[in-house]
Amino acid sequence: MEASQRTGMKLGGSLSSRVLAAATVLLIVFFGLAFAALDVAFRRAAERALEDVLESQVLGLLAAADPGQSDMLNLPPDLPETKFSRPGSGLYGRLIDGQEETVWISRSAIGMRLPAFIPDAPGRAVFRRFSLVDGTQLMSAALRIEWEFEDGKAAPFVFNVSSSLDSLNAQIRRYRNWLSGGFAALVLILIGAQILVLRFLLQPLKQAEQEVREIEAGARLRLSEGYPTEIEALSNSVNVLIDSERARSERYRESLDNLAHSLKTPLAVIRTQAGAPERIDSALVEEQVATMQGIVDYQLRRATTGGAPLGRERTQALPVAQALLDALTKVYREKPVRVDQHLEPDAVFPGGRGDLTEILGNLLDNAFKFSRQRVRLRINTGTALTGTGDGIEILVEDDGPGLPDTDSPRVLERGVRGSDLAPGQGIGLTVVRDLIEAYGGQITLAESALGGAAIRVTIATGKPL
Amino acid sequence: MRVLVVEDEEALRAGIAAELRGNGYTVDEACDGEEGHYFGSEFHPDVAIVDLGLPRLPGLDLIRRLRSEGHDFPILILTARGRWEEKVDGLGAGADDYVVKPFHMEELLARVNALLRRAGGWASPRLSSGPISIDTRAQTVAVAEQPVELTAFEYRVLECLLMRTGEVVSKAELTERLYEQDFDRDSNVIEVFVGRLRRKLDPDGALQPIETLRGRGYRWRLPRERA
Repeated sequence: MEASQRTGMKLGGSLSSRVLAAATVLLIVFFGLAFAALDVAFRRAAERALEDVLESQVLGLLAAADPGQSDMLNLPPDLPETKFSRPGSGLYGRLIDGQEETVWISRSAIGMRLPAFIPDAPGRAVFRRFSLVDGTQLMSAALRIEWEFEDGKAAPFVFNVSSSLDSLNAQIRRYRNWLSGGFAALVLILIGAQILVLRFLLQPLKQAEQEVREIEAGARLRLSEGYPTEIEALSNSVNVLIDSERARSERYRESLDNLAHSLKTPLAVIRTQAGAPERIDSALVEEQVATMQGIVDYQLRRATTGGAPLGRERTQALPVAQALLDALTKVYREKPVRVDQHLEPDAVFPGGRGDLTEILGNLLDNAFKFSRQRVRLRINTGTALTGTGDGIEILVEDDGPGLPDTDSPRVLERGVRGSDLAPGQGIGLTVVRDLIEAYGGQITLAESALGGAAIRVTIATGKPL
Repeated sequence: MRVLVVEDEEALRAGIAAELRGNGYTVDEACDGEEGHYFGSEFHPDVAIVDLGLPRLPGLDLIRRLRSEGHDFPILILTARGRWEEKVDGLGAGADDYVVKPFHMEELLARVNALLRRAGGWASPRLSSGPISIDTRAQTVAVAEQPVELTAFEYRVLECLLMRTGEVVSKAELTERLYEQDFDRDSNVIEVFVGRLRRKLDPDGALQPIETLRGRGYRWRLPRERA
């Protein structure tokens, strides 16, 4: 119960909204991840570029350094890079000696408290990021060298160039804006395309829905042909269902019609009797009631059994046959009937248990009823039986008096009942004939080697739908 | 013989019961499956007639329950649809025969009679034992081919004893089969009937067909003859 409710909930909603929701989530996740990856890559590349610039500036300072007197390095006030000279330019140079004293500071950095750091190893530029008290972010490159003066002395110096990250951050912001805008547009375009594709894909379903509505409204008889392969099986089944439903209601209507008409005659006879209550012919009334009962029985069975075996239900024949033989052996306990059975264990009847029981029940009951002491039941399967592929064959024989005449089709006529046959045989066989017809099978009557009647039924089993 | 009729359609049940009583049967009437189960398990019927479409406890379940509790009296089912599937299910559940509605009362009586005979191990409706024979259909009795007139109660006692030839039948069992209520259980009326039967069947005391087992009941001591 609970499980089916859950699946029921799962199956609700519209297919397109499901596909759209799933696609949207997927697109957002995908582009989100792509955005994050591209953002990281771009930032790395931009930082690397800035580091290169800083390193070359450090080398520029180093090249411009001029050893003066008393073992000290000097830098000219005007450097080729004009940014060092403009205050607040965002590029700051500084030279630090071995005692971590600032020897020189660029004009752009005057008044700023630039952070100082000494690389551990000389000869290679080291990069670090700092935040100043005013929130300015800096990228700083430092190169430590041992300067050899002309007099042979050597002293350590650190060349330090820092750059504000403002322009880098602005660059990244611009890049991000561009990227997110582009991605958003892409997502929208893709979802739009998705909607169009979905509409295109679901169009046959919409059409089917429309056609079903038309069928309900009576404006159309069945679904049209030419649906895509995936839907074709469904539309074909719907058509089969519609056809079988129509045939069924046709049969019901026909049965009702037959019933009403055939009941009128005995009713009229009984009415004539009721008109003269002092001389009621009770035998006549009894006879008419029996006729009416026969009619009701026949139409009732005809209406409830058979019909196109739409569900393609399949029934193992062996257990049904055995249950029936058990039941009949019980009913005919006083009659010493010997039953020969040749039942193929895998024989399958292409319909429901009820229909098979009805067919076998009527045939076997007749056989038991008319037999002197022997009944034979064979159930075979084979491909040669029906000429149209796999089939099942049911053969019921007895050693009784046999059928009244070899003009066998007449026995199967619905009217033949009662007088020349034992009670029940006529209607039993008629029911069997109707069922076999509904299954598209064949029924033939013949004389059995046992001496009595031999009734052979063949039905194509085919492949399940 | 005691018959249980389980049928929810009142008119039909009353009709069947009246017909059965008219033919000398003692009848318990139940209108649903649960009541049928009560009567079936408490009142030891000799045969039960069970409709398949019963309220409260469906006929099939009633039959299965009675059988699983070890009650082995014959059961006749009444089916309205007459579909073989229904008959097979009913017989498979433990019923012994079926009648399709609507039916003639004569047919129902014949089936009930046949079931009773079969349960007693008799093959034909004519039960013969020594020179004494009864026809369970016509309910007639003959000794050495000479008809003997019995009252309805005498006939029922004779049928009960003869059906169970060789077995001891207690007075209580005989009372149960003669009266629908058990108010008369302790009466000596059974002894009176048996005495009359002995006089009518065996006026000169040569056959001694009915044996009295003090404190236990009666036994039909002549051997049964199969037709």
